[in-house]
Amino acid sequence: MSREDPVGDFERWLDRELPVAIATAVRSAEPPPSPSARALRPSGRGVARLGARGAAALCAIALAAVGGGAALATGTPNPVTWGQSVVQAAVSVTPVQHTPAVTPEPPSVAPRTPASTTQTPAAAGTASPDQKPGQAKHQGSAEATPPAGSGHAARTHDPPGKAKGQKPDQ
Amino acid sequence: MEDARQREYRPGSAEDFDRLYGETYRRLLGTLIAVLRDRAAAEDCAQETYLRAFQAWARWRPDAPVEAWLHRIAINVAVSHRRRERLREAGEVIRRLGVPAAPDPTETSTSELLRELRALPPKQAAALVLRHVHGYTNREIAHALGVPERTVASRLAAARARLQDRLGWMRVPGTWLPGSVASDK
Repeated sequence: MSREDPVGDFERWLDRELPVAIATAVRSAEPPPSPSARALRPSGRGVARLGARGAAALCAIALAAVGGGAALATGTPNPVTWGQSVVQAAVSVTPVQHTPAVTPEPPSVAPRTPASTTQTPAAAGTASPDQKPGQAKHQGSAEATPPAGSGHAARTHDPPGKAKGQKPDQ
Repeated sequence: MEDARQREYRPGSAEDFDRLYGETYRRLLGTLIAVLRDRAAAEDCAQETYLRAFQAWARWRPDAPVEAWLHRIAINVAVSHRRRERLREAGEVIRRLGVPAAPDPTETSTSELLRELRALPPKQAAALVLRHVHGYTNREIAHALGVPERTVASRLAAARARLQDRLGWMRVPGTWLPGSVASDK
């Protein structure tokens, strides 16, 4: 019968061969996580999903938290005061670390460069303010590289509040 | 059995969608593998299909066969993919200036039947897979392809004739034999 029915033959052949071909191609396909699971899983795009209003609300909450913390620390809700208190804190901290034991002789009129911020003993001087700059220079040149722990590290900067080139006793 | 399972699916339920995903993924991937050129593309399209289906899951009507509905989305995704692929190929041909492309290493492992099936128009290939692999009725195929039911029979016949021709089935006195497939064996 099948010999007289070529279409039927081919259909039967397809019924037999096509599932095998497809199954071979699919092999052991493990389905990845379902799209519903991925939709529910928090991802890096969480903020984007909030939308503009949600993002704005999030920003407002963050700012309020920062402001609240600053207000708590300074004791005032005025942001100008927060800034001042930060400056004050910075000023009060710096001398503790960098106040020289002896007020250094100011450097020459050359403008301060990053390299000159770490003063050598020549610039900082080791004697009293009455000492002449030339003497200090001469003395410093002999010990341009102070040994570690020699105490010079504490005199690396000008004290705060002293302008460039300003004499220490002014 | 399909109807019994389908009654259990509730539109919009994520749990039911996950179950549908687990139950249909391999079959859907099989259809896409038959329609598309390679497995990676089929997997990408399967993911896109389920993503689209999940987005539309709340709007799915339980009176429609759910797997046919999924296949309809999948075939649309596959057709779009093949269109983009053809455009890309055209660009590559122009870039290569007629130099033949290097053979695809994944192609060597596929059967000749699958290769020829992939050469058919996507909707014809899908119709053959839905009938001969998944055992769909004409009504379900019509739903999956988005064509009237009466069109399905003629489309299936055209697909078979074309595939038969491409596979080189020959008229041997007294019977028909698959030419190249028979010679392989």
